Amino acid sequence: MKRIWISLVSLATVAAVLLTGCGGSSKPTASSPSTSAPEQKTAAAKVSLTYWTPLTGGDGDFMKAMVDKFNSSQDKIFVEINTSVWENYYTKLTTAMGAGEAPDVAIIHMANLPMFTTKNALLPLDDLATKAGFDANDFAAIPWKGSVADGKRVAIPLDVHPLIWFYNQDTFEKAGLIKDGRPQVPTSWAELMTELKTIKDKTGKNPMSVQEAGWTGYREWFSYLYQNGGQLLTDDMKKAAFNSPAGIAALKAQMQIVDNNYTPHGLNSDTLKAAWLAGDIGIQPNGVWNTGGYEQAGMKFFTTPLPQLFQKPAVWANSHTLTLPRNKASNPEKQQAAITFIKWISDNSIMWAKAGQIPARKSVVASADFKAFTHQPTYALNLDAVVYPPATPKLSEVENAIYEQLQGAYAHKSSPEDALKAAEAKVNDILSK
Amino acid sequence: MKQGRPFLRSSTREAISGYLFALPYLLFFCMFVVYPVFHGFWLSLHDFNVIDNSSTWMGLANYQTALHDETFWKSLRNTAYFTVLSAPLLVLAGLLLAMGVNREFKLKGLFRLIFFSPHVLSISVVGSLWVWMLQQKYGIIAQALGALGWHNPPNFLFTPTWAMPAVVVTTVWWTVGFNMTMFLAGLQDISQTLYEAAAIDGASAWQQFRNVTLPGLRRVMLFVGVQQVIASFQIFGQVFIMTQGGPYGSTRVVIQYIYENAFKYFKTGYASAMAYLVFLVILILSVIQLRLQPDQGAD
Repeated sequence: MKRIWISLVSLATVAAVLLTGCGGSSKPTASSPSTSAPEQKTAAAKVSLTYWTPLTGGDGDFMKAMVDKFNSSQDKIFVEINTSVWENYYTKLTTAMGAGEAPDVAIIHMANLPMFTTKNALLPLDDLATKAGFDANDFAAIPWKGSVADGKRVAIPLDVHPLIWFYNQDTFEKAGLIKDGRPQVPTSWAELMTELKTIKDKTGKNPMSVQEAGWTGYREWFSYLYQNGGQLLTDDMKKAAFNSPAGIAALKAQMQIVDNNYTPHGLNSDTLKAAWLAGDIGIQPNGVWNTGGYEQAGMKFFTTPLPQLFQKPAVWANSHTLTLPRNKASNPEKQQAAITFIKWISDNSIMWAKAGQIPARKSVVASADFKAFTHQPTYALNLDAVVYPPATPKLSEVENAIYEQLQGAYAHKSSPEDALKAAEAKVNDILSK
Repeated sequence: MKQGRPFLRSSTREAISGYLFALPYLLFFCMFVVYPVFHGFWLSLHDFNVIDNSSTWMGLANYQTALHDETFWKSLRNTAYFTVLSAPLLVLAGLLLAMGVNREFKLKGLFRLIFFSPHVLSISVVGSLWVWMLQQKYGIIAQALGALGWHNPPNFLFTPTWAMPAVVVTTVWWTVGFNMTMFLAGLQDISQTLYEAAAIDGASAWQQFRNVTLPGLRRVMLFVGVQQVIASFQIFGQVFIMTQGGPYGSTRVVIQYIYENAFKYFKTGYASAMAYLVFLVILILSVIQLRLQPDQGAD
């Protein structure tokens, strides 16, 4: 008798678990807490879109808020956002494309577009964009032109995100480097070194960070390379061009900060963030996307664009663009819904600016709302000086090869000359295949 | 009960029910192990693009490129370095811990639990945990070393010389419990009467260890040793989470390099060729190890 009861109870439990598991998968996220509008009424008429992003930094929350607002502002389209860490995002996206299961809308960095356009993985947007009413003149010129492949538009730029400098307000006050409420910005490399020495002597803090174990360490070198009149690859993108006096000068400049121990060593993104938020760093070069996060952490800081310290003004930048990947489930109705969603995001990119991003829409940057931000207007300047990584499909491999050799220089395992020579050999090998 | 001849002999029926029990796992095994093995070989002979599924016949070109790839050889050397550091350490530490917890003392159950429990954690947890513990300024290892008098220790995970040893320490902490359990089972299999006889003959503790324990553990030692070398050679998770192959490529083990080529640069054919080369290396290593062990008859 007891055994029969035990068997019945076990069966009932198993059945209950299985049934609850089966129920939730079909409808689009009925469990998502963010949707406020009742879905059941117009569920049949709603177009459902999937939207993938790599925004796991501080800016991800701001994008999610935008999607939530879009969903609750109308009931014809429902967008489901999915975010992956940047390091794994392109792996996930490409494998989904291979299976025909790509999302309806995907963010792709402008520098990574060639990888997809050479394989015809993105829908051309010319007609859709014109009909949706995008005004080419309202977009920042470089990213608007840069989202075209083979004469066809494949993406709508969302923002421009260059490297900028963050200044710790307390440290700069203590070092006496504040004038008229703004930090003293050096106008040459020699001036920078003097300023850093002042910070070290007067406050004992690390004057400036070099992210030896993270991508900012590469992007800073990249900016100085172009400021010295150099370039990463030849114009035809077939050979390396960075092993030049400009490249060596740029790396030697970074090494001066490393060798003077002006920076904590071996910083990666977690430890750089921890050191910055703990107030241990005077000047931190990093991407604009951190601004919103630092504000939320309650930090007091200044921002300026990356200063021109050598012959030319230049600063590393990339852009997020919105694309329509080809996939099996695509149809004209979904494509129309997708472009409507993209237009809404673009029109409302003042919300995106809250994260620290500079919208690609000139009218948004010129608006009073944008000018009312504390930090954004101080660095949304000199957008003509931005330099994007070269548009080669092998960019990821090329940059990883250079990045590794830079690490060797930072770790004093090779001289700057040897590091760039080794990187040049590797890059030429990669580009030749 | 029916008295006529059954349709099938009982041995056949047993065989059929055996296969039916094995069928679900067999299906998964074929789908996720057997098929990828053959598909991987096919991939290694082509240049395959993940985005549009196009492929170009390469013949053995991928293998040739790999054999001339300086980074591939460096990653093999890094993997060998890791194996040489970690495998003997893991076997020895497993044995010592097992001998320790095999004794009779009050809290032996608790200690067995403590030494085994890291093994229960997933690699992501272990990796993330140790990244923070090894942090130069804020990590507890640095604090502990400072208390012992070694102030300003190097930034372990981001100094090329120290990064691999740091990964080794993490790995030993994580997996020694498994070896300990294997050795514990082996130790308990050795009959107590052998130790008593040796003690009566006047053998010291060391002599008992050499002449009773070690011979008794030979089979377990062989299993743990081979298994450890194979596992060490395939290290990937710790490197992927803690150092991503850096700094300056010092921890790039061969599986990490294969992963980079397959999933970061999308050169799946090239990555598959390297994977097959690694398979060959591990196979040769295992055969050598098995040959080096003297034959054991039943004890």
